[in-house]
Formats: sequence, structure tokens, C-alpha cells
Amino acid sequence: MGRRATLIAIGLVLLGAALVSSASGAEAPSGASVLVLYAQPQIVPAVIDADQGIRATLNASVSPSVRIYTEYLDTSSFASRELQRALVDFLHTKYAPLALDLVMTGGGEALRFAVAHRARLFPDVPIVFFAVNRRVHDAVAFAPNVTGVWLATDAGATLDAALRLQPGLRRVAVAGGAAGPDRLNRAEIRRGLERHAERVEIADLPGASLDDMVREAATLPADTVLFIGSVVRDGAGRITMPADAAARLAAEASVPAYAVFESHVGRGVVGGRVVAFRAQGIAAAALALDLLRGAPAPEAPLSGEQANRWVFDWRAMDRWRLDERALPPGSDVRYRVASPWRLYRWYIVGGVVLLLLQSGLIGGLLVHRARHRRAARALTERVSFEALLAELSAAFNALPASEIDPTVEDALRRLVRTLGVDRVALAGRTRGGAGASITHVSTAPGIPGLPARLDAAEVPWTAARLDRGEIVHFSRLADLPAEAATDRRCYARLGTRSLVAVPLVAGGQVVGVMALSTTAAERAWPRELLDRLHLMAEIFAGALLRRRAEALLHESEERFRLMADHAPVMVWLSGADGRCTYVNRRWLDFTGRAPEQELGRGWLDGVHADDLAERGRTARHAFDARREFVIEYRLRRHDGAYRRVLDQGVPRFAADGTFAGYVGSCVDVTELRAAERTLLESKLLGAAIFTSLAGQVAAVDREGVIIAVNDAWFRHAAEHGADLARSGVGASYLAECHRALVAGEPQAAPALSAIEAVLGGERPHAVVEYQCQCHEPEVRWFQMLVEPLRRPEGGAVICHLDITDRRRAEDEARRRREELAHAQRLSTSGELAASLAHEINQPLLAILSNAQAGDRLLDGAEPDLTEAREALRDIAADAQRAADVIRALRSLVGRRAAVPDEPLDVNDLVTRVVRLVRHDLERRSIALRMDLGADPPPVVGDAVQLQQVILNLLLNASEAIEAQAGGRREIRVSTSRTAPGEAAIEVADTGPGVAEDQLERIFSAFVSSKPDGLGLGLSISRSIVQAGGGRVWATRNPGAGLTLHVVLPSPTLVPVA
Amino acid sequence: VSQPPLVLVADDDASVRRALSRLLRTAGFAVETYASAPALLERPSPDQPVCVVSDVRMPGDSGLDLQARLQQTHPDIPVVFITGHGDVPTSVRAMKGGAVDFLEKPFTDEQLLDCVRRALETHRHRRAEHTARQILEQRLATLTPRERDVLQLVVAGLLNKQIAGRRGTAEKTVKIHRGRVMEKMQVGSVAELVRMVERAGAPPPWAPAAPA
Repeated sequence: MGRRATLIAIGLVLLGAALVSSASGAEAPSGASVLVLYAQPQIVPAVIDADQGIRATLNASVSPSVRIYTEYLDTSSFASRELQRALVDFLHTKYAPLALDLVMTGGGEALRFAVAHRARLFPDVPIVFFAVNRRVHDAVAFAPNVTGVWLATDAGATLDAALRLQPGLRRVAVAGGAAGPDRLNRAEIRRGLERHAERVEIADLPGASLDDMVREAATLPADTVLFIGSVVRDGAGRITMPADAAARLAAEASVPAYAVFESHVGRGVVGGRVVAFRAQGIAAAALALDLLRGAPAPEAPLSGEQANRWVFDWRAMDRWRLDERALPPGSDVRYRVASPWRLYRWYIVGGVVLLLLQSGLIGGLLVHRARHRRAARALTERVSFEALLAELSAAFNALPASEIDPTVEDALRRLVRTLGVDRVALAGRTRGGAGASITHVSTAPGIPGLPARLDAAEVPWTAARLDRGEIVHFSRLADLPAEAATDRRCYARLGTRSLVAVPLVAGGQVVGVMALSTTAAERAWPRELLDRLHLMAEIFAGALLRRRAEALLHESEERFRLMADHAPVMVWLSGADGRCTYVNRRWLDFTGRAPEQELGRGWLDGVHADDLAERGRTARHAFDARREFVIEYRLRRHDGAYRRVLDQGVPRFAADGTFAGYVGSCVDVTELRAAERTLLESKLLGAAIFTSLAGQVAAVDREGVIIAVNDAWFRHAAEHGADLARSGVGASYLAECHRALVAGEPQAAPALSAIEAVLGGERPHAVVEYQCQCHEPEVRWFQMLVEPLRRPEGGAVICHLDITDRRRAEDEARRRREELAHAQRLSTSGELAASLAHEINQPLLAILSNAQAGDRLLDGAEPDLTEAREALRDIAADAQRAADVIRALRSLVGRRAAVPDEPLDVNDLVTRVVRLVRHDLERRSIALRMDLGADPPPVVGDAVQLQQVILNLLLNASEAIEAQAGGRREIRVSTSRTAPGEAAIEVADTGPGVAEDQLERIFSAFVSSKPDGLGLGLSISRSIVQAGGGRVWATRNPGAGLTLHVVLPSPTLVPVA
Repeated sequence: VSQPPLVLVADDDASVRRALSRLLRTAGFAVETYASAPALLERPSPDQPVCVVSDVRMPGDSGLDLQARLQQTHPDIPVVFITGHGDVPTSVRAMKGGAVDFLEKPFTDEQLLDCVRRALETHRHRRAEHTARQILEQRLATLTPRERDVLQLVVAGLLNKQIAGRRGTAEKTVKIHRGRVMEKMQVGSVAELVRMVERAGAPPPWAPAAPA
């Protein structure tokens, strides 16, 4: 059904219609507006080529969608200042409201114009140029926000090729125009030829006007070649079309002519390494799209080298007998006309025979001219038609795709003339199939055109027939059958009076329609005319099909290059011979070299010498087997650094299955490899550290299952005959702890809770110390450290350390401290002897006196029993008091085995010590002030040693006061709770104090203010306090003397053992 | 009615005060206890024989301070010090200050009581001497200068004739003065007069130095 609808639509298109499309309607809102300025007129082939490239590229962009405006400045024809001003005013009026996003300029004059009038016409809009000679741009200076594609005229390469084609070549004549661009171009060509200056003589072709030059060219010696450059204006001031000028020169030259522009190829020149303006347009448009999409401009304009091609004209080669095999690889040889005779000889023979026959017929008919005027006219029409038919059938097959369209249009024009119809049109099926769009149309003068497309629904009857491959024709609208009423209305609307519509069939498919119609008068369509038209339609169909195929091929190549040039990887192609035929822009950017340097085997220069052999071997093996390959090697970057690239090659095959070479891509993997190496090294280092740890280390997962053990763990397990199934990787350590707990091992419970707490995240880490008689005669101490594994999956690291030696050292240190402290206590007690004696003598005196008084009281005749009883009571109390003093003394001086640390009340400790020294202070007339806090937290430690500390502080204070003559004599003792959870004791004296820098020194051993003092008191006090996790320090009082501070940790903060 | 002798006890230790007080009371003394020296010094002067028993060391004013103050107001009241072992330097100072006795702790009841009795005796003796001197001074005050001169010479052992010769007067005149001296001094014999002056202790301060 789709197909049918399509054909209907196609039919419609063919109808001569009076409808004039209104192209100036409202514009759809577009993403980006781009103005393309050309220096030259629209008709110049170079401009047409470039414009095609630009449009193909920009129109393919979806984001942003691009709206293209084009202006042709034609600066060589209209150079006056007034005209320029008017042109600027005109362009300003036209484009100012449009808010252009980007301006592209083709040719140096256009760039010069754009930069000169930029402020007025399009301020701040980026400019992308193309087809610009490097020198022109230098001249206008590098304006900001201007980039583009240089014109890379490469006459040197062309001369290379010419020397291969014509080894006897000795001289080169360079032909060019007199306009500014012409002169630049000629200079460029001569520069390119310079490198062969030793081999060939280079001279300009003399002659001012083009005619002179043509004459000169015709007389060039045989060992010469002609290089034709740009001729925009000749020396006589005549404006020319460069391609036309080239065609004239080439046609008349006595020697082969070579070109530097693609647009000249096909006009008689042999060809060469030419600038392809279409490729220039594509490259510039791609650059423009990049900028429109927000990419930064390249650092420098593109070289333009990638827009050059090897293009040769087969016909010119044939004319000069040049050997095609000597052409550079990858050359595009066009216009082959080797086979038209063979391919189309029946058409040609038929045409010629027909011509002869008809000529004879015409001769006969002329005799009866008056009578047979109509027949004669018909015959004339027929003859010219047949001639056209023959000409076209030959031409279409020889024509390059790009020239098919003009030829078709020319043919249509001739059809209009020859057949006397008003409109001839070719239409193709629209892409969706719902209509047909007119591709070529020709109308007689004064006849309105046709709508660009017709819908199948407008001419259903016609479309159905065409769809079946039938010719539709009518001489009058009235001839149309009743069922074609809809069609009739449509034709009437279009002004069509008579019509022939011939389907265009290609490959068995109806792909379009050729339609001839009249609007001025009705017309009859003889049978033989219909047959010939059918023949004509076949020729058109074939030509259009070929054009489309070539366009598709061309488009796909362009698309590949466009894609490859913008691919984020380096892309290369090689031919079936293994030599490189293409590298993309990224490759060139990477190596910083020109394409010629890289093609063939040139790119191997960049491969690191050490990698060359291996790379070659691998590639060769793959190549021989037509297999994919992946190779890593070092490739030199533009800055000289060798980068590691991963090169992947895939064989490619032509449609017929023949091997066509390789396509490959390279990625710079230097950083990746470095990162991999770093990662590997870090892993190895981690493993080495783990293995070499002295402790027995195991890592467990969140469930407590062992996931790794180090050597020490493994050794320990092995040495103690442990079951590796229960203590090796894969065993559950938690389960093992549970088993030990059940077995009654005392260390199991704390170990288990420590591991579980860390695994559960309740504790940041845990330490458990335990003793174990693991298969050894002596008890050894171990420390278990549990640290969480800091990773998302959780887990923990468990480390067992044998700390027996440390424990022993600690015990030894404790014992020594104990002894020293004891000695110091004894010596302190000696100092206190007098005071202590008093404390004991007082109650003893009271006891004695009371006892004797009692004796007397009971002695007399009337014993005073009441008083005697009181005396006894007092005796008991005093005895108790004496006993208390003795106990306090014993508790200080007595030597005991280490007792487990117990919670102690700081106030109680202070009170007990004060009892011992109170009298001593009295004796020295030192007042003691007690300021005990309400609730200092309990501390843990050895009561005797802590009392010793307090005693030392008090005696130190009292001695300090004693050492000075006058002043207040007072000691203040205070206790308090300090945050967090610490008990503090402070002893302040009113003695002389010490200098700020001596505050620490007083804690050193053997530093004493007393001539007979050992200086051990404060030193021992500090070691006692620090062993218990506390701190001692001294500060100077604001008034006089020192305050000694002791801070003791409260059990709430004591680390879990 | 003679009052029982009084012992003043000063000690900062309450149990020691109680014990000493009890012991002294059983021995028949009147006892008053004081916790500090100033408290004791505020007490009005007693009439009966009295002594002070004090600890050498006390907070605030020590035993030695007490002794010094007492020396100024009641020099005749004896002080018995209780000392600890080895308190020699303090003891020497106390002795120089006029302490009568020392008791080293611990001591027996007899030691204490002996000390206290001796001290009281001393006090009694000092009080008697004090009284005799006051009588002598009162009687001496009634003598004329010529009579005092004669008294000195008589006590010095000179005869009337010697005195008359030394003063260049008649023996008869000396005899009359001597009779008035004996009368005013209420003594019957020269021997009694000499004893009286001796008992009063040191020679009266006003007495001019005897000629060589």
C-alpha cells in the first residue's frame, strides 16, 4: 500500500502546476545560524564543491540544528570602495536581526572582508575560514576567535607524480592570473616546486592576457609540463572563471597540464595532488560544529593537508599516453571512458542506423514538404529526439556523478524544446513513501513551475497506474475516466491540459517518474513517442541510480573520515599490501607529523626501536592469517615522549569478500599501565608487610571467618600442633573462641567480647592481655589487638603479640620502684621521728597518768569509783588513739606484697597522711588548711604509695616554708573532681618557690634544697603517679610559693585490661 | 584558813589535760586546766601557793612564750615544763628563762608530784622572802639618814667607838642613834638586826656602797 501511495504521489509531482511555492514564509526556530561568505561567485566550481561539503556536514547536525545563510561577495568583480560600503550596509541590514552564531569564510578575500567589517556586521561572532592561503591570513593578522582550515596547495607532490609519469621532464611552466589571490597562489606553487629545482627548471608561463598565455602554452617544448594555478583575473584585467581558464590552457597546451585544484580536474588537466574544496568545506564545517557545541578552538588553524587528494583525469592521461600504474597509491582516477562503446554499442548503433534511416526519410519527405509539413515536423522532432537519446545514453555512462545533474537538466531543457511541451520534470519517491518530490524540472519560457512535492492522495488514479509500471497519458482532461475525478481536479488546479507520465524503473523497482505536460494547449501523444519516452526514462533512471549510488559511496567515505577524524582514538587504515593508507586527525595530532610522513611505512618511524621487531612480527602473523590483532608498543608523541599505545587491528573485506586491508585504532594506555603497576606494587607491598609482621596476624571477615593469616600465625599454629582447619584460613575464629569459652579457658571471654565489639562497630579497637601456658613450661603473656578492617565489607585484623618480655620488664620496673619507694618512706619516717614520737607519747602520757590516778583513787579508804571508771575509759580511748597512730605509721612504712589495686577515696588518703605530719607542722609553726572536695571520684592504685605521694608533697611544702625566714607560713591541701573523671590533689605552700624554668627540675632525682636531703621525694612521687596513669606537675602561686598538682585517673576511664 | 595549793595545767592536748588534772587532784591539789597560754594568763593572780605545769610545745603561743609573759607579771610563780624526748635546745632556753623543773615524757606520778611539790615550796619560800623584805623596807623608811648610816656601819660589825671615830662625833651621840635604830627596826640585839637585813636578800638598792 505504501508503495502504491508513493507512486500516486510521484505522479502528482509530474503535473505541470501553477502553484508557486512561497519560500519566504516564517522560519522555523533553529539551533544555530551560520553565515557562509564566499569571496567568489556562486557558479565557481570550487565554491560549489566547498558549499556541498559544508551543507552535507552542517545539515547532518541534529544538535545544534544549523540554519545556513550564504553570501557571495564576488570581490574581484566589485572591488570599489562605494560598492563595498553598500555591501556592508546591505549585509548589516540583512543579518543584524538574525544574531548569527558563527561566520564561515571561503577564500582569503572573504576572510579579509569578514575581519575588516566584523565589528559592524557580527561582533564577537567566531569566524571559521577555509580555502585561505596562509599568507592572506598572516596579512590580516590573527584576530581573536578566528580559526579555520588553511589552503594547502601542494604543487611539490604533484611534481613528484609528474616526474614519475614523465621521467624525461626537465621544465615546468607555471600559469596563473594577476589578481591578488592568483599571485599568492602562484607563489605558493613555485615554493612547492622549489624542492625539485635542481632537477627541473621552473619558470612562469609568459603572457599578460589569458589569450597570450594560451598561445604561449601551445608552443611549450616537449620536455615541459604546465602547472595551472588560480586565474581569477588575467594580466589584461579580464575576470575569468578559473576552471574555464584552466580548461582553455589545458586544451591548447602542447604538453600535459597539471592542476592544484580539484575543480580543475575534468577540464583537460592531467590532475595532481589537488585541493579538494568539498573536503575543505567538510573540515571547516566540522570545526564550526565543534565550536558551536562549545568545544575550545584548536591552538592553530588546521593545516588543510587532510583536504588534499590525488585526483587524475583518465581522459587526459589517455591523451598524453601516461601510464596509470605510475600514479601514487590511492589515486582517484576519474572519467574513465574505456567502455562506452562496448557497453552501449547497441544504443549507439541503433541511434546511428536510426539517424541514417530517418535522414533518408527526411530527404524524401522534404520533396513533399508542403504536403507533409506536419509529418516533417514530427520527423524533425523525432530525429532530434533520437539524437538526444543517443547522446545521453553515451554521455551518462561517461559522466562523473557530479556532472549528471547538469546534464539531466540540460536534457530536460532540450526535451522541452524538442517536443514543444511546457513542462518536463523528473521526480523521485519521497523518503517516507507518501509522496514524490521533484528533483529536476524544465519549463518553457513564461510557464509557471511546479510545487516541490505532491502527495499521492491528490492523484490516486495516476499514482496507482504508475505504481504498476504503466505509462499514464491523456491529451485532454476530459479523456480521464470517471474514477480519476480526484486526479482531474488536481490537474485542473495545476493548469495541466495534457500529460505523459512515465515511471522510472531501476532494479525492478519504480523509483520515480518522468512527466511531460502542456498547459497552453492540449496535445496528442503518439504511440512511438510514448515508446521513445519510455526509453528516455530508462536512461534517466539508470543515470540517477548511478548518481545516487556514487553519492552514497562518497557520502559513506566522507562520513567515515568525518567520524574517524573526530573519534577519540587514533584510527588508521591499511591497504591490502599492509601499507598505511590513512590516519585520522587524532593520530596526526598525537605524532605531530604530516599525513605524508605517516602514510605507507612512514608511521613506523614513531615506533620505539625496541618494540619494532615484536610489533612487526605480531602484525605480520595476523596479516598473513587475516586475523584480528592487538599489540601494545611505544609510539613517539609530538613532544618526543614515547607513549604506550594499545593498537587493535581488524581485517576489512570488500563487498565481494576480497581482503581490503586493516582498520585499526590506538589508545594511549601509558597512564593506565602506570596505574596498574602502582596498584600491583602497592598490593605486593601490602602483602609483604603483612607477611613480615612479627606478631601473629589474622584478618577475619564480618562473620569472624579467617580470610588471611601471616607467616607468624601459620608458624605458631604449626609449632603448637594446632588444627589448621580450626585456625587457618576459612575457619571461624569466633567459633574457636566460643569453643575455648565452653572449655573454660579464662582468656576466651574477654577475647570474644573484644572481637565482637570491634566487628560490631561498638569499639574502634580493643586490647586484651592474657597469660597462657600454651604447651610450654613457663607461663607466657600475650596481647591481643583487634583493629577493624577499614573497608566496606567490614571485618577485623586480629594480632597476637608475645609480650612476656615486656611484662617481665614491667614487673621488674615495678619491683624496683617499690623498693625505692620503700626506702624513701623509711627515710621520710626518720625525718618525722620527733613528730611521730610526740603523736605516740601524748596518748601514752595520758594513759600513764590516768592509770596512776586510778590507782590512787582506788587506794584510799573511800575509793572514788566514779572517777576511777572515767580514768579507765580515758585510758581505753588514749590507747586506741595511740594504736591509730601506729597503724598509720605502719601503713606508710610497712612493707607488703603487692596488693591488687582497689578503689580509694582521695579525701581519706589525705586525712590519714595529715595525721602523721600535723604535729611536725605545729612544731614548725606552719598552719595547715584543708579544703577537701565534696565528692572526688574514687581512684585506683596502691594506697601506701599514694599516701607516700601526699606525704612527700606535704613535707616538701613544709620544708620549703622552713627554708625562708619570714612571711606567712601556711600549707593548703585541696582535693577536687576534674573533668573528665579524674581526681585532683593540690598542695600549695607559701615558701620561696622556684623559678619558672626550674619547675620541671624539682622532679629530678637527687635535686634537693636540703643539705641532707636525698632529693628523691618528688622524683619517686612522680614515678608512682605516672605508673598509675596520672600526672604530677608544679605551678608558681600568684603570691608566693608553689602549688603541686596531682591528677589521678578514675576507674571509669581506666582502659579495659 | 589556808587554801590548798593550786596547780595550773596548760596543754593543747585535751586527753593529756584530763589525765594530769585527775592525777593532781587525787594527790590533793587544786587544779585548773588551760588549752593555751593566753587563756591561762587572763586568770587573776591567786592568793595561795601556785605553780604552772605546761607543755613546751603548743600551737600559737608556745610554753616558752607563756613563761616569758609570766616572768613579767608574776616572777615568783614557778613553771614546770613537760618536754618530749630530745628537746634539749628548747629545754635550755626554758631553764635560762627561769623554769624550775622539767619532766620528760613519759613520767611517773611520783616524778610529777615531786616536781609540783617542789615548785609549790619554792613559791611559798619566794612569797615569805618577799614579805620579810617588805617589812624591812617599811622600817628602814622610818630611819633618818644619820640613823641609816649608823645602821649600815652597825650591820658591818663596827663598834660605837669606831663609828664615832670614823664620823668624828662623840661616842655618846652614836649610842643614842643606835638605840633609835634598834627601836625603829624593832629588834632587841645587833645579831637580830643583821639577820633581818640578810633575810631580806640583797642589800637594799638605796644603800650606798660601803667604803672600802
